[in-house]
Amino acid sequence: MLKPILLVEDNPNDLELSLAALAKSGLANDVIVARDGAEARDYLFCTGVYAGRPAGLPAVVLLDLKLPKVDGLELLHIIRNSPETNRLPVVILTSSREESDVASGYRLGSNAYVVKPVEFSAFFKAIQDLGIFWAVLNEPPPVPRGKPNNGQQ
Amino acid sequence: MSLGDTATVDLTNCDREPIHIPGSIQSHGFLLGLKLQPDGRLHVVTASENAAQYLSLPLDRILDAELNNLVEHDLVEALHKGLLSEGSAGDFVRFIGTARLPVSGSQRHDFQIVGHRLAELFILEFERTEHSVSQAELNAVLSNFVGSIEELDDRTALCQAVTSQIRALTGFDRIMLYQFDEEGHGTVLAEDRNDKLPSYLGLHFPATDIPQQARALYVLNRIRIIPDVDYEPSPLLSVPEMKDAPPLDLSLSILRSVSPIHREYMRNMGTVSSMSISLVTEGRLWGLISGHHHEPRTVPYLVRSASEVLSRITTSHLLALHRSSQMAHAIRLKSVHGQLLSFMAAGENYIDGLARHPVELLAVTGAQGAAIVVGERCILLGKTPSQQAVLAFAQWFSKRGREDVFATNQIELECGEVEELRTEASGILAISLSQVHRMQILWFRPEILQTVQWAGEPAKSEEFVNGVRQIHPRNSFSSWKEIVRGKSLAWTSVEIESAREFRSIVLEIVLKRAEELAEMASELESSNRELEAFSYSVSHDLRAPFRHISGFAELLLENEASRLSDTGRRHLATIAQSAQFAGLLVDSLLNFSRISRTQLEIHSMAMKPLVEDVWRDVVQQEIGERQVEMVIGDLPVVEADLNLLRQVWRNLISNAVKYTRPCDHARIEVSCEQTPDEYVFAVRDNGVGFEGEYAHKLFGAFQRLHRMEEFEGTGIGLANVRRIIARHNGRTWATGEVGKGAVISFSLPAVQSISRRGSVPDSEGTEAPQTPKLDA
Repeated sequence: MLKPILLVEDNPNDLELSLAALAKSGLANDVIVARDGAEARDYLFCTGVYAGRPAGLPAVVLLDLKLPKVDGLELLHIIRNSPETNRLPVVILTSSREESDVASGYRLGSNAYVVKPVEFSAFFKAIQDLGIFWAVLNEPPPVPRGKPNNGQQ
Repeated sequence: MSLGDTATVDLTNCDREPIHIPGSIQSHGFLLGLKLQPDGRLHVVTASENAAQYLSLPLDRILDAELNNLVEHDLVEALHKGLLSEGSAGDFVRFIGTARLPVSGSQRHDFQIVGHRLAELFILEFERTEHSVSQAELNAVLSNFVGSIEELDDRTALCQAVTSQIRALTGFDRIMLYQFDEEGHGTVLAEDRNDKLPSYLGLHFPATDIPQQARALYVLNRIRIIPDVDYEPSPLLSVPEMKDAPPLDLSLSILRSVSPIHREYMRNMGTVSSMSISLVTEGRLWGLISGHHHEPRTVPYLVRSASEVLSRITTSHLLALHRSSQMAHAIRLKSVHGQLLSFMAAGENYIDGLARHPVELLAVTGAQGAAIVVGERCILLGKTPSQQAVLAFAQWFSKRGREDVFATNQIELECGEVEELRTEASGILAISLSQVHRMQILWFRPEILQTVQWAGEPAKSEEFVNGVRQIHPRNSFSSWKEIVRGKSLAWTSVEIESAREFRSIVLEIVLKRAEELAEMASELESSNRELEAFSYSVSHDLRAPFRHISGFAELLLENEASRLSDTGRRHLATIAQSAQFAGLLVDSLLNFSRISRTQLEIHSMAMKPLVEDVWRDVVQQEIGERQVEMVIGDLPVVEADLNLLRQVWRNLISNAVKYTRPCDHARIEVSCEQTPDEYVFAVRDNGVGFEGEYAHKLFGAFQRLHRMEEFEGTGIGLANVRRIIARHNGRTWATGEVGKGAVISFSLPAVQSISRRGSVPDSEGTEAPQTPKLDA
């Protein structure tokens, strides 16, 4: 069974466009939507409304940076500092091109950083490529054994 | 005094005459040098030759004699009391008493006896007196005088008072008082006389009239008298065991024989007898009171002492007057400083504040003219040399670069190359406000053109006597006029100090201004930063809605196209395109603002490989099917931020490619020229060019010189280039003509002053604050 894609996005317009893009990509993976950082955290760690969901991590997290409650960088920090999730592929997806965001994103260990293009076709293509790369092409990290691997390409 | 034939005769010869050891005394008295014997008795070891006549004894009975055997017992007692008692050591002259001695057999004469110690000797001098005065009379004179001058607050009146008083006391034909200036020239300030001798009031005496060693002697021995210039000098003789002793030092002697030059000087003046009293203030010979008489004249020792006391009272009063006038002057200067300070502080520009108040500025140093020099600019106030001469001096002064304050009253000795200054500004007092920039304030005094009356001809005449070259003072004593060439009145220490103080005041103002400027600049910088942050956040937030407009329009086009009319589809496509373009503008704006916010990473980098690399990108991404000839000349290695320079080249080359699009044969040339200070890079194309008169608009953000339909783009490329080059301390400019191509140039300094590690981002558009670099 295919692992789902976790899309963390609070802006309804971006959410709809992203979902449209993923739908067009022909990916068979389910898309789980979290509308803020806290909800995403609950999903990943099976807490809150997700308490008791079937175990398993998504194939990739598409993470917006500006999020209510727990923001994108905070969530990334939590993911990288928890043994269950520290190898989970995370792609930061945001409007901001600010270097400080980029720097913090990579310092905290995101696997990629994508600035949402204004141009629709470019945006579509970016979302589709990301979904395909991380959900299909990218080999999930092996179960921790010996040398750690942070999954960075 | 005679000199050998070969000796050069000049005015300074007098300075070498050892006047304190003449080896003889004048003949109106005699001298005994005594030595205390182990048994307590005083033996004569030295005597003037004329002692024999005065004491009616052969000289060999005087030399080596015991004092007791020569004079009365009372006198020896007085001597013991005055000179030998404890605590009476020290080289000052004491009055011992009077004695009546037999002169030429039966005749007896009154003598006043004074004594002083000279190392192990006791010098006794017996001076014959013609008449006597009572101590009470003198006391009355002194106390009257002190009372009468109490009210005087004017130097001239005080000088006149003491001059008249001393003449009344001594009975000389003429008493005059003169003062010495800094260079030793004398000016007669007061005079009291009868018609036997001419007036010298107001005349100037050259400094050479009184040789150096005489001036020193006059400070030591405050009163000298020559009763008869035609005296026969009486040599000093000593006992055989004193033969090898050095000549007797007569510095403190009242009978000391004077220089033959001085005696000739007196004869030339037509005076037979003279007396002079030193006016000493703070250890310096301030002036002299001198008396002259047309015939021989003695003045009793007590009268002389009284005159000396009068002189001392006068000098202390003069000093007090001088100090209070100095104080008043200093207070006046302080108030002038204060006024100027408020003028400087009030105006926008402190220099204007000074320039508008020339009277006060001149008062700072008591000058006739002034100039304010800033760089190559100068403002002239009052009586000054020409602007050209002032600037020439200013240049000389800053090259000299040693002192903050410079003063001369004879500029030709210091800066002779500017001929005009010699007479127009013989005196210059200058202050430098900065070692880095030329900022000076200069004050001028012209040459003293008024004639000065000298009481003698400064060039002493030479004369041969018996084939030996003799030097003697002027024979001609008529007033002689000389123009003091190339000299101004000297700047006093108070005036120089005032200039120095004024300098600190100006510096304070300048520094305060600089601080205010820096504060303003920093406020400007912070508001600029806020503006940048605001525009960044606005642009950033605009991005999402544009994306949504573009996205949903596309979705609509894709999913619902069949339900729309052609016009509806066209409108939707336009909406999508416009939103995309708006997004592109926002991205450009964000990039533009990032250029000023990011830190520079300065490294050595070769320009040529960079340009080649950029060209490859352009060929790949922009050229397409077109044929464009690219010529890349020799390019240097520079110190710069690689990423930013890549943006510069990308912008310039893309532009060149874009604007050569209509050309059949497009040609782009990249070149560099080096000057001593900078590298000048140029990108030349043969494209459509632009109208030269709009060249200045080319580098503004979102400025376009062509229609959107002709050439696409946001119009921010060259604004980016200008910003990046400005951050590298370079310049940008463009030349072009419609249809004849364009040349876009930029420069980079040959030596990059930005540190290699990078610099704090500065805000473009506001220049760095021009803080004057001061060396205060």
